[in-house]
Amino acid sequence: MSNDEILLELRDIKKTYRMGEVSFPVLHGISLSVKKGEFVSILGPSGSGKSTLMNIIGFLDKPDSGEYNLLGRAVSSLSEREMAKLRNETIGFIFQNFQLLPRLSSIDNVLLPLFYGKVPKKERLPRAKNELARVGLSEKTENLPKQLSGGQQQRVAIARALVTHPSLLLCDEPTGALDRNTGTQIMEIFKELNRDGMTIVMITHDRRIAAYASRTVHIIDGNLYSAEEYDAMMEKDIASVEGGNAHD
Amino acid sequence: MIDFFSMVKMSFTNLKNNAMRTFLTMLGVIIGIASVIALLTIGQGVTNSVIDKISGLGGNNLTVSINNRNVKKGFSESELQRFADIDGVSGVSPSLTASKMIVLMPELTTAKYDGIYTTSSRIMGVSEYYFLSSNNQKGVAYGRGISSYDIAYSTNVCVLGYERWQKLYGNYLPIGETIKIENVEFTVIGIMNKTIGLDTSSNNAILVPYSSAINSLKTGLPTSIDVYFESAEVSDSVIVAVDALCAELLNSSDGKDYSLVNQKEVTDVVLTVTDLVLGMLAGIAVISLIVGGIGIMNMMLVTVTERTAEIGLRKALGARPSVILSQFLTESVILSSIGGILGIGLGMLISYLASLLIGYTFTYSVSTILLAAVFSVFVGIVFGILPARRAAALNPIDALRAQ
Repeated sequence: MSNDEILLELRDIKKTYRMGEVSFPVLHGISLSVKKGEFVSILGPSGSGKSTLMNIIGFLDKPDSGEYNLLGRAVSSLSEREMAKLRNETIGFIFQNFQLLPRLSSIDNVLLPLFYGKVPKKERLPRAKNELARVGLSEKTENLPKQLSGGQQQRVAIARALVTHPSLLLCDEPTGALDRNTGTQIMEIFKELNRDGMTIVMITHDRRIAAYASRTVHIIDGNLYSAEEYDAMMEKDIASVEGGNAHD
Repeated sequence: MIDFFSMVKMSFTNLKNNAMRTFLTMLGVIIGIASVIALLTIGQGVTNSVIDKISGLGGNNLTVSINNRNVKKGFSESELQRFADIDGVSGVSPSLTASKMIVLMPELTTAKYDGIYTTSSRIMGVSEYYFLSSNNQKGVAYGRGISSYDIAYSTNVCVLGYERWQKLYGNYLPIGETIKIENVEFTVIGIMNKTIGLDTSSNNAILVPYSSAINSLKTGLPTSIDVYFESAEVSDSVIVAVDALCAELLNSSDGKDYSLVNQKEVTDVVLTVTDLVLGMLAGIAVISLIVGGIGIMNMMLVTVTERTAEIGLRKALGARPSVILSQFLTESVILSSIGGILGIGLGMLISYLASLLIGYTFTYSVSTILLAAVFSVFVGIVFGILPARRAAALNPIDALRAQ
């Protein structure tokens, strides 16, 4: 079960977006390692670079420099084809807006990753059904996304992420489009998955949601801070603001 | 691996979701393929009927005629054999023609008929090859034709031309009846098909074995013979050999004493002209097909742009670029193939209606249809590859962000 084995490791990751003459540095040398079985939340305000970081972890985006190892493999050395394979087999994505294909039924949405992976045809349907049952949607397999509530759609997305038995669940604001109550239900699912050994990295701006994680790191202006560093920095900032006020 | 069936199913779903746009895009291919099929089929039908009209003989024989009877009275049996022995010649049939008095003898039969008892008719002396000619107009409608046995034994049998039969007997089938030609009794053994076109010589004639014509009717040796080719391919070499043999037999080097007429030459000229016209028409039709293809490319490019987010998601779920490429390519090929099938149907319908309107026999060639089908798939690939490559090359993150 949960042990000290490292699942993913980022070392000094830098990323700058360029738009013509202007360049926007987004990540200033980020280092992070996640162990197997951990539930890490990356907490930061909008514009902090947290989405870019998530895309790099899911190698949907390439860093300008730095090293990224996933399961002991250097991601930057992989071809696009190998990346697609690794993504299919090891990472399950959960998005804020669910990202279900609107014209496919729940079951077809869940079948998609199996279709792209090398899963034998006769195994696909039982696996997809099983996964939908796990998130409590056995009755909704033939429904289109628009016939489902937001919470149900996110649960289809979770089933889709889990159907390939990934090593890592990568969540981007998973409750951002849900009401508070439904969001809580979704977070309970993640908590249970983590209890069963799933490694989860979640990106959010919501402290309450981040609290479900076993470890929280903060991202501010493209720099990563541990909870302790963040608290210390906050105290210092607040003190300096108060000190400044005192001078007035 | 990605299975073909799932890919096709997915493509159909995508195409169905925009049924109107899919249909309009497909219309370009439908019109393109339909015009290719219609023009080629109508062109072929019209050409066939023109060729039929021009050539009652067909292109499979060569007529050799002695122009100067002072040089040679006619071809003897042994000389006929020399023509028959030329490589690539399937047989020869002399064409002896004479006008003779004929008498019908109802007293020899039990038949009752109205009509002429004594008249004159054209008599043609021919060989069995006259009936074996690949031109089916030369076949017999009833009874049998003249056989090699009839030639060898100069039997007194005759085959009536279609119109001659009608004039003499009306609708009564006189097989087994006797006709007196120049006081020699001939037994009717068959009736010819009605011939149309330029060579209608047998229609009004009575055909007898040429040996009987020479022996019984004293027509003299044949001055004209038809030389039949084994196939169209050998015609050129046969013509050279026949020309050489004629020069030898007539001891004539300038070629004025005899003439060689090949129907193939006539039909070749017509075919060259019609092929040229057909080629031009097909070229125009192909242009409309290209326009249809550009329509597909345009629609697929729009589709790729619209589905950018979807492509990104698929990549996030582990779709390899090659899979994305094949998916979009499958869509455009399905689009163009269905368009092609509908176009073939529409084209056939148009040419069928045209055949009713213009009045030629409706024909179609399987090769034209296959060509059109292959071409429509080809259009789908050629015009689908650019949009499909664009989709495959999309950066997943840009694609996801597009939503």
